[in-house]
Amino acid sequence: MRKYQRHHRRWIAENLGTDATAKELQFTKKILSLDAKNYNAWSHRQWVLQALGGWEDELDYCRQLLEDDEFNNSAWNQRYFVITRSPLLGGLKVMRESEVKYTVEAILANPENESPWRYLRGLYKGDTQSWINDHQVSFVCLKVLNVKTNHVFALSMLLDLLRHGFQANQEFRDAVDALGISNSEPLETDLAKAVCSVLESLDRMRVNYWTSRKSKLPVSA
Amino acid sequence: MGTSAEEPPSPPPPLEWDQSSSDGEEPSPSTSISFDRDRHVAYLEMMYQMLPSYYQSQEINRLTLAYFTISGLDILGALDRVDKDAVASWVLSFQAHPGDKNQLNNGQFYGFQGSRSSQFPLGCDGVLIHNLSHLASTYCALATLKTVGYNLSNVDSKSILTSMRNLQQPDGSFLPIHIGAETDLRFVYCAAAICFMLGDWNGMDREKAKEYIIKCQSYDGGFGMVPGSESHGGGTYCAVASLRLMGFMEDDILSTSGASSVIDLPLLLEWCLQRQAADGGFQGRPNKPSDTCYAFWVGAVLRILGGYKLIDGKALREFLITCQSKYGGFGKFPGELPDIYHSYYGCTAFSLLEEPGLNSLSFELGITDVAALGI
Repeated sequence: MRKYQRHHRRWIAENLGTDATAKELQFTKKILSLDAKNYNAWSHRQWVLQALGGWEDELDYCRQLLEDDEFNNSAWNQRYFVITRSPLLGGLKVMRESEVKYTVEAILANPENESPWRYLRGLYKGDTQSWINDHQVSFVCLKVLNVKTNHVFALSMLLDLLRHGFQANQEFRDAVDALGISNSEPLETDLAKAVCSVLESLDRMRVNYWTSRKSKLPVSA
Repeated sequence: MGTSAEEPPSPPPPLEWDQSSSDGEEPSPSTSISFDRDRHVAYLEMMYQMLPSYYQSQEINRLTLAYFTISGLDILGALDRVDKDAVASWVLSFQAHPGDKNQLNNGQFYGFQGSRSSQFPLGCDGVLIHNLSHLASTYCALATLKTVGYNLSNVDSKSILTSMRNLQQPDGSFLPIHIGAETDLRFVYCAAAICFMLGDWNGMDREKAKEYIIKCQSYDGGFGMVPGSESHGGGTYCAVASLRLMGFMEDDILSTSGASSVIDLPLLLEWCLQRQAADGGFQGRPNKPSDTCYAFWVGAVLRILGGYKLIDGKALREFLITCQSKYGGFGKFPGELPDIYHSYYGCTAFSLLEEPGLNSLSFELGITDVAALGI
């Protein structure tokens, strides 16, 4: 874009101001009401927010969409976009605590939903230590491991936590062993290896992956 | 790869189905459990001869449709159905030529246009007045030329590469066309593939492109089309294939212990593997339905990384068979009627699965190995 074009565009935006912003946001909202995951609509919406503003109601808009469908990955992505880029909020670190609470609730409601698990991990991007140390993270893993079904993502997160140095207590050991009880194989002494074994039997589609991860685990002392 | 981000047109039943090729019998109902090579060849050959009327809205992307059809026939080992010389001449007729060298830095891109309808007549002194050269059309043109065995050293690469730099933005991304449009990873990929095929990296600033790609990796490990966008199978392919083509990612990187990477590899790997859904097919994004084409977009990423062996190949195959049409070709979803785009990516997916009788692919270029090598 030539300088004079950018200038012109900015001139229009500044003069139309909130009017242009509101119209563009409304336009994308209309498309998303028919197809809540429309990729082009979300791209345009993100462009509008960054170029013209209008961030005020965006987090709430995400909340509404997730109320309609907690499995809407586009809405989770938009949530991340807002908390990391909105000039009205304090940034990822500041938003983290409230977002973790929100996400944990979503996970407990539908533990088989991949989106909030990825989102939870994303809240600690670039700060693995805080992720390992946050009791809410280990709490949600343990909670899910102890319910009747849908353990795969909890096990997967526990495996990653262990790989990064998380010190699991006996409760975790017991929960994992309980899931492994159906295996005829003897229980692994190393917790990470035990987690991989359970994943091999619960997540059959990715059995090759979990086997490969087990083989790459460091030998326990 | 289409020049628009929209879905291909959904076709009505193909009334033009040529019954004589099967001795006047009706094609047998869908329950084939094997890859139906002959039927796919017949479907693609039919498309090569004449596009059905519902493709009129895609006329601007005619070169793209030609690439799918001809490369598809190549994968199926049926390139003998194609008049290679005629195809080469036809493709070359879409090339936009500058009047003189000075025009190469007037901001325009001198590549290939996508169709006759976007090609305006030359001015009275034979000069190009309206140039609608497009990066995706240029990629498809070169890929098709290589597929029919045309020697690319006969193409005026200098004009293409010198003027292509005009399309690269300060952030490293690419405009597809000089008159302006959205910039995203698809066009970074096209640029990288064009440079690779022409054997000359003067067409782009690779470092800047790499920086842009890195910014597109989402918090969940996949890549969105632009920074901040939702991670997407197509975007992830464009990112990884580009890095590989540009030389920023070694082959089979997952097998190399201790290999460093400019992107978060473990997170990417898990994202890719998680795209295989309960029905065995691959989805383009979390919590979306499985779709034929992502068996290639995501599958090829895994292949490039050296992690393809980690998928459930049997389950994928079973899913793809349900998307295979009794008319030949593949649809988007199980039981859907076929379209050219999904038919092509269905064939590439089976090539990834190493289906006997299919030619192997250069995963990062999107053409067969033989075509890529220029034998």
